[in-house]
Amino acid sequence: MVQAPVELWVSSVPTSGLPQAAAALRQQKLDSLRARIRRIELAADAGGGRAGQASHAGPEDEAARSQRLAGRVGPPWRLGADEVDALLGPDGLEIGGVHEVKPAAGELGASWAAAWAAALVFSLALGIRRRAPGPILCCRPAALASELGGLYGPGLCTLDLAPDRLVIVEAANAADTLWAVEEGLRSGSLALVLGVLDAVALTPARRLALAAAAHRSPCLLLTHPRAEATAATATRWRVGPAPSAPHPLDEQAPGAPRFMVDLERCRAQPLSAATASFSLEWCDEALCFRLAPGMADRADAACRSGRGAR
Amino acid sequence: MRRADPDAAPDDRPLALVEAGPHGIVVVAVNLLARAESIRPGQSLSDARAIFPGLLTRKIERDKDQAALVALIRWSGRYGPARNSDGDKGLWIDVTGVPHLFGGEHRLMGDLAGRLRAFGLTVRAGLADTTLAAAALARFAPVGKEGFAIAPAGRMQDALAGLPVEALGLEDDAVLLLKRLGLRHIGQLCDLPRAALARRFRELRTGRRRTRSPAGLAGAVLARLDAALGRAPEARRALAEAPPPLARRIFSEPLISSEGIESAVAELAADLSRMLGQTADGARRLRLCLYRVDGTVAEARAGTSRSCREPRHFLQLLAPKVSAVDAGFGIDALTLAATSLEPLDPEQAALGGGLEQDARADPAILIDRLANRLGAERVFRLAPYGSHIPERAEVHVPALSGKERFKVSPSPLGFTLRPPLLFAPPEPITVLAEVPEGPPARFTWRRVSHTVARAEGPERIEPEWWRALGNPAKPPCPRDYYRIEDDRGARYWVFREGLYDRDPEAGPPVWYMHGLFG
Repeated sequence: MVQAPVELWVSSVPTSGLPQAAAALRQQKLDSLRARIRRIELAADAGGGRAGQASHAGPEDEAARSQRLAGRVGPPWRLGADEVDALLGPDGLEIGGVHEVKPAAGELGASWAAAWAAALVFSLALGIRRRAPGPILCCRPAALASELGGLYGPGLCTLDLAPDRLVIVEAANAADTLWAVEEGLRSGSLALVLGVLDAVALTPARRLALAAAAHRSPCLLLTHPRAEATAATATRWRVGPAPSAPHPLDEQAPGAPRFMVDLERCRAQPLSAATASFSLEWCDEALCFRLAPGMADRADAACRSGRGAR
Repeated sequence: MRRADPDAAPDDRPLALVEAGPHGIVVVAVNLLARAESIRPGQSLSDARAIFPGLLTRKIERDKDQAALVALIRWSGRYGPARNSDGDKGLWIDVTGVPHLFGGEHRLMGDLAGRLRAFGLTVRAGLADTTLAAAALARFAPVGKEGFAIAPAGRMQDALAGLPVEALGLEDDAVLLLKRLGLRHIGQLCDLPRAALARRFRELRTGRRRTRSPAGLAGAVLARLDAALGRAPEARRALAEAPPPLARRIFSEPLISSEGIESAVAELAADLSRMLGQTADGARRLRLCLYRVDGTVAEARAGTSRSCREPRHFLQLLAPKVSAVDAGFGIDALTLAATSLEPLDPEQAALGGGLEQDARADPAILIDRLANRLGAERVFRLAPYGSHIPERAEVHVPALSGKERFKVSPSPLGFTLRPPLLFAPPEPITVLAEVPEGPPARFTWRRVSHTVARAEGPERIEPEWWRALGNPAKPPCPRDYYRIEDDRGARYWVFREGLYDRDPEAGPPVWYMHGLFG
């Protein structure tokens, strides 16, 4: 869309004769310029054919766009555990947003691979909870694949995720991984895009957020536990392993998997406390998360003290 | 009992194929039952009906026969690359260097004749050093019930000696003259000195007006004989493969800017898409050649996971590669070819109004873009493989191959749990465990020590027994898998390779970390 160039200079002779009025006028022009730039930026990212609207535009534009992308307004994306879902707001997890999942840092010297595995399984479980058709794209740099292990089909079957729903991209470096994640978001045909990266800088994070919002594709980013938090995310979780539920048949065996989950940030509904911590159990039959009933205090304290300073 | 095709002719009655000739309808071909009733090709239909009133007739469809022959020629590429038709009813195949693949010439001919007979055709085949000799053997040599005749290598003159002179494929004038001279067999023709033939032809007159001089006829006969015996080269042309559809643009002014090149590629994509639409094909592999002014060529290739002919998709796949091409002094010609094709049925466009983009776009387009930019082997899917060894139970299938659905057979032991993350290769760990078959109590992995709180196992996975055959000195050991959880709650999948008391000289068993549970 072609815009006429806007005059940038303020008239040197103030109309009211007072310097404050001139400053106010300049401020007004700057604000209107900023709003226009934001609109142009969002319009350019929303695609050539569509007349893009800013994501914070009025509710009727959101409804119009979601009608245009008809068929994607499904059930809200929730975890299944009521206490956690209450914190997320009435609509559950934002479908057109970027969510960050960080493995719990642990103490120095502890192995992080187990926490990465817990974070990955948590993310895949969120993907199963999404209940949308379409493949799940999983992108990561090839270097991380050797450190954390490769995705294994028969193991995903035990999670109740059909392995042929996954498309895996092992890129050469982080830039290619980010490009693949963005392409997946822009395509709008996937149920979920999962990206495993070390850290995401400000500009790529904003691009991903804009792409996810424009095409209503959810994105889950797994980042390094010690890296800085990614900007412009809708929610941020910190996931660590927790002792599993008792096995119904064998008391020595590990039972249903449990995770120590902290919700650190939620954009839709600000959190009352600084962070909200839960111990969630993944239920195989109902395919949902449940609050782990009655954990022993000693084990709970041990897990928390093992986490160290954040 | 129903027939599959109600129009098909029945096999148990005399049948003749007829064609309208200048003097009425003429019988062109007969089946065996009609031949037994002494109906011959060339008779008029009224004569044939007089001989056998109940004759079934069908109109001959020469174009369909021709198409079927071409299809058969293409099929026979399994026996040799160079092949083509020989007249209306035959085909030749160049099998130089092929017979050893079938176990000998006899087996090759048997295989060919058997397959053709299985198609329902009556077969006569011949194998010789030259095409003419093979055609002669096929048409005129006495074949047994196998249906083929083979001339031993280098002894073609003996093989052809007993055949009549019509076998050389000469004109009727020449055949008539040869018969008048008393030369009925090719052997007699070979024995004759060459100059004598021209002389004999000149002395004889047929009484009909000849279109060629006697010397010319004699020369033709001798040339055919030489070609049949391999003394002179014979001219023949093999069937060419259909060229791939190609769109081409040539510019009078060489293109230097990337926008110009991209718009040219867009036009080429539109042309190629139109060409593919005419034959209802879709492209799987594309090749774009950019010809520079200084005589060099740059090439860009792209592939799709599903056959498609959308010009926009072609442009999306080629655009990043085109932008990486150095234009040099300018590009003055571009060609875009679809090197690999697959049939693609045309889709009916929506009936009302403009075409609305489907709300759920195709993931195949995304896969094409990812695979073409990052590399085909970096974008893959997980496919099951039939093996009980865990690391061999899965293969990576490149997403560009287009295979999406994999048949997953349920594992026979449904209660075994496998980890979602697997290390390849398994990492060795040091373990403190109860001997001989207890689960680990403490272990050290990646220089960090863990205390095990809970464990489940062992699950024994025996190695593949055929591996021991290849390596009798060091047979592979069974593995005992344990699913363990440490005091923090992290869950691992470890195994012990080897047993404690089985083989004293094999050494103590080794423990490995194979995977991580959630």
